[in-house]
Amino acid sequence: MSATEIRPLTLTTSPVRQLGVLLTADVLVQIRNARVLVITLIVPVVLLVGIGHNQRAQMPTNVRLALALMLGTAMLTVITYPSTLARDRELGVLQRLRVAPVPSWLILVSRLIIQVCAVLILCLVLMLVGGFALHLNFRPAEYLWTLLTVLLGSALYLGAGQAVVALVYSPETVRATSALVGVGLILLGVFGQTPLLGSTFETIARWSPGGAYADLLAAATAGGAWTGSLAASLAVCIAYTAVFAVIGVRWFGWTRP
Amino acid sequence: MPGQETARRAIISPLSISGLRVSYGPVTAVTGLDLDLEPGEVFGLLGPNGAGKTSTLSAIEGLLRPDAGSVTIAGIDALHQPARARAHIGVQLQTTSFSPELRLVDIVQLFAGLHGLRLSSADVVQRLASMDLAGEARRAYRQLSGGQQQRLSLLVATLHQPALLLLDEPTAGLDPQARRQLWDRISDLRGQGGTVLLTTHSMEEAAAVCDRVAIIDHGDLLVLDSPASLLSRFADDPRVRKVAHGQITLDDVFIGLTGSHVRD
Repeated sequence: MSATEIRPLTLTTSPVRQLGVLLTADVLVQIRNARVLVITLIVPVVLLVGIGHNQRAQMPTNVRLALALMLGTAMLTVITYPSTLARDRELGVLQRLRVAPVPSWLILVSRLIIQVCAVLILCLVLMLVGGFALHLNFRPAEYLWTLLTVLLGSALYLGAGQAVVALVYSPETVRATSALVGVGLILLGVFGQTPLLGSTFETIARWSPGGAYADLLAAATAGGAWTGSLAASLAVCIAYTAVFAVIGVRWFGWTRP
Repeated sequence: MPGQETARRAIISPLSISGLRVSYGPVTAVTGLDLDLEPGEVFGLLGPNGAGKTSTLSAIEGLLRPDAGSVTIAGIDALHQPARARAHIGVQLQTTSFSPELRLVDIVQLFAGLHGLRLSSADVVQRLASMDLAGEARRAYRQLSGGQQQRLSLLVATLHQPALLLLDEPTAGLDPQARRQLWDRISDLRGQGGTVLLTTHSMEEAAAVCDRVAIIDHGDLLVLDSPASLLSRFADDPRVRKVAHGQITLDDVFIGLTGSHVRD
């Protein structure tokens, strides 16, 4: 073939800088979806402080905080994350990013980081609101323990969300499935803390992803001592996270099949 | 300029494909395709639905791994170094989109950043103005018309002055004015030394902007030549004569070679 001179402008950039660029764009998307963010923040806060005095007396404050945190984690991760990812997959947003010189995994990592940060911010807000409105006093170690627990819970629930978006393709079905899974995880968390539906169900719920996370959250917000039971809950959480992550990565498709 | 710019002069083929074979389970989409693009040319990849055009483009873009063959972009083995190869290509996908919430300035900054370019706000507006989009700079992507979205997509694909621009049915769904405008932009790119590989169902488009075209069907390369040469080569071909209505057109050559039956 005839060869003429061309002048390609070859630019290389580090994955770290690319991650920074992706994070900036993902933050902007979150900010422009302010309505979703506000709802995600308000609902757990209402759950925490909006319960009447009679009910407050029956439910310990730390349990209410744990429930609010569980709800917030579920809303930001297992419900919102897969829905947005499925929508972007359907629209071709992900495919457009993939033809840029960026590793595909970085696109997902950026989105996961944003969700985790959002959950951690929500956690801090809830703890501060709990301190002001409900006179909860947290020591720095309790803040740290709760934040670490929420971090683990985010990983667990994001794993579940990633698994949903890996196994289901239609955005509408993903939205419905993730809402069901989210509600299911919350209910399992609640029923894992009470013998309301019988001890067998309580045991099953306790060792479910929702139950194990609720266990850890309740302990963290109560500032209790570390026990063997909590260690088991931690191991269960890690195991579920690993399983969900494997499913979410192995079967995730960037386009509709 | 930030990023490690290694602007370089090269005497290399923007795209070289050899023995490309792509299959989906038992179905073979591309069977041993060979293509060599010359620098500065606009090359049309034509074929009916299911001919293997999009599979070929996807293999070039690194979106799918072919069963066999090689793809070299600007001298880089795209199968072994896909990210590096992608730095040399600009892509406008058939069904492409950007996050609906992002504004045009955000989208340009995002893709410039992914390519290692750092643009000032003035630079971004200037780039948008080059596509008649300066007035839309602060608008969200979802608020754009189809033609504006297409122009933004082309701008993003060319931000980094790629050695090879891949356009997958770039004028599908555009009105005649927008289509003509896009053709002018493709001609401008060629004038600046850029190489363009486009797929299209419009023979009018192929004749208007392509220096050479390849007609493929069932994954096979049927013919490769300039539009004018194809017309003269197949003017007396009985398959083409049979489908022609009056003077032979590129449409007639295409239908004569690929058959009249409608593809899904």
